[in-house]
Amino acid sequence: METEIINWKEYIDEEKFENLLEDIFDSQGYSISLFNNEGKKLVRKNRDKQNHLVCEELRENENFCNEHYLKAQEAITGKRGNLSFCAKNRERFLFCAPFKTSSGKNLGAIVACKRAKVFDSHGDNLEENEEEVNFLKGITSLLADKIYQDIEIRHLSAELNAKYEELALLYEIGEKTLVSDSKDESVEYIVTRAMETVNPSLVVWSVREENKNIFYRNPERESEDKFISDEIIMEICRKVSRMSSRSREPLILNNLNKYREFAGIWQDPINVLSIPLVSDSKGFGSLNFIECNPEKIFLNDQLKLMESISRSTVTILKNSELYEKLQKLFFNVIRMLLGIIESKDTYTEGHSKRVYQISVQFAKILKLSRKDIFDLQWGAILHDVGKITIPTEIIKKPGKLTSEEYEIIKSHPVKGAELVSTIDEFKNAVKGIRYHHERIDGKGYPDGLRGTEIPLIARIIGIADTFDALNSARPYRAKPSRAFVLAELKQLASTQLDSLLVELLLNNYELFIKLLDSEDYELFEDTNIKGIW
Amino acid sequence: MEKKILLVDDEPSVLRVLDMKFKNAGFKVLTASDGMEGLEIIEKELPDVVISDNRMPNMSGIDLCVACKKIREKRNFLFIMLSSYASVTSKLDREWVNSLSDTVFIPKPFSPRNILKTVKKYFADNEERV
Repeated sequence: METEIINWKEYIDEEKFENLLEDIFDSQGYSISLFNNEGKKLVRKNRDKQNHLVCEELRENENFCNEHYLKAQEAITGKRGNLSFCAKNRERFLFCAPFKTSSGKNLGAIVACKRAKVFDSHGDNLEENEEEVNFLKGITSLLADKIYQDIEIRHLSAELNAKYEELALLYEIGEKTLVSDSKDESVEYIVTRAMETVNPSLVVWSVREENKNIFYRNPERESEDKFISDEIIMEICRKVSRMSSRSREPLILNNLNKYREFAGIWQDPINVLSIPLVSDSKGFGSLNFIECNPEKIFLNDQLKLMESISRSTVTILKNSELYEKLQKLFFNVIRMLLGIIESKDTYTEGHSKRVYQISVQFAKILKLSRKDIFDLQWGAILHDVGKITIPTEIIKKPGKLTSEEYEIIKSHPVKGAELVSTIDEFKNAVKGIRYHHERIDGKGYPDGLRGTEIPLIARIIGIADTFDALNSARPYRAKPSRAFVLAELKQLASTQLDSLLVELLLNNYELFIKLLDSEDYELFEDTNIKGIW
Repeated sequence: MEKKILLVDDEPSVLRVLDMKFKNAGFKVLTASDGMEGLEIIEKELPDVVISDNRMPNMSGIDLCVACKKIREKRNFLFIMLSSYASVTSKLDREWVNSLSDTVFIPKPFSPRNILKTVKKYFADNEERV
């Protein structure tokens, strides 16, 4: 039977325990020694004062005690069965017994000793002192039970504590995945929180697809850890990551030097915990926790916690991948639509994109909310989508339009709004499409709204539309001069266009004019939809 | 000097976990299983920190916080209220508690490590102030 070594002294409240020993054994005239099951003496309680003699003798004759401890130890290991025994040596009475709980857990041995004459005056026959021996046996078992109970409570508390941490961590991470939509930000948050809980030297996310390693160094450990170069860590991560991804199971490698694959990679022992990020269909690489202090080995419960964290991480990564796929599909559909509109009129090539850029520049200057920016962006991109319904002959007609044809052209904002209104997300963007040909003076179409009756995003799209048109060549005219455009804009202020927006445009004219030719338009990183082009 | 911390919760497992956490960190730990008992200990022992659950029999955490307001005016201590996000604690209660100095809400489920961090930070900040 394998004996588990329990250093129970760590688990007990020493002061209380020694008082307890004193209460029990002092009153009976005993000196007491307790050993753990490695044979290390943990507690020694001597009767002072009255039994001063006994203490002295014990100290002089340690061997006597040890000898009997060894016999007790034999009892523990089964060589002598489960017997406690007593012995008498000159004037001393000695009780040795395994220090065992009633459930049979072995904590070591107990040796109790007192002057024989206090105890018995009948010579060697110890059988007669059965009562005393039974008392000692009973007390020993009770003490062991008490200690073992304390140990168990401590173990349970530690486990409970770990569960609390785990729960808090999972709860926070669960919340995080709900609110955040940026993949990298979420992963970084998870890694940071996991780092706080496990406290390794560093964490490396080996990203499989891009074949790169992202380092997260633990700021709390920077001062105490020995420096290991990035190359070595990357080499380690590459190997570990391959191993854990292949087995699709988390991996603890305490002391890398032990393993053939890592022989000679670094002079000091390094401990690694590697969690593969795998869903049923795909691997995203692995999270590698690296510990440079060889004393701090990774444990199984850390592995369990990290496993559940890896599941959340995989969910985030998978969601973001799905989102990207959907977004790509959606952008492709929109791009196709724009292609159809613009193919109808080669003169307006790139018009939707420029209107979008100019509108977004306005949004930036006006510091619009995220939500308004979203509506404005899509309104601007799709403002002419209604032209799909208009016959190409009318759009491309070189000469003057008949009033009938003009009415058909004028129907495009309403048609466009109708088309787009079927998409829930664009409920508000529709206003930008429907009203982008309204005029401040109420002479626009389709509804003849006036001033601020026209939604802001429609006013912005309106001015962007006009500004781009003024700067474009037409079948019947070349690209107008700057002076002409400026004059036109001033004239249109407060008849067709919102005069405040015109003022903004004129004040920032260089900024806007640049946008007309620019290919690069990272205006809003957080609401960026440039992937559409 | 050894810092005294009082834990108040009717849930023994919470007491157990925090008891171990703070004992290991070198604090003297006192425990109570409801607000009433907690208040008695506060009056008698004047702890440096009180960590209390909110929903408890006899006297809730909020009521305990109200009851020891006078004591804290003379000698303030850190009061940490553990509370679930759910509507058990009304917004008004929370606002009132937040308006007191050295009083913090920590939502459940809580991280024991985080609580220890909060307490240590409180003492570090206090030392700086002195």
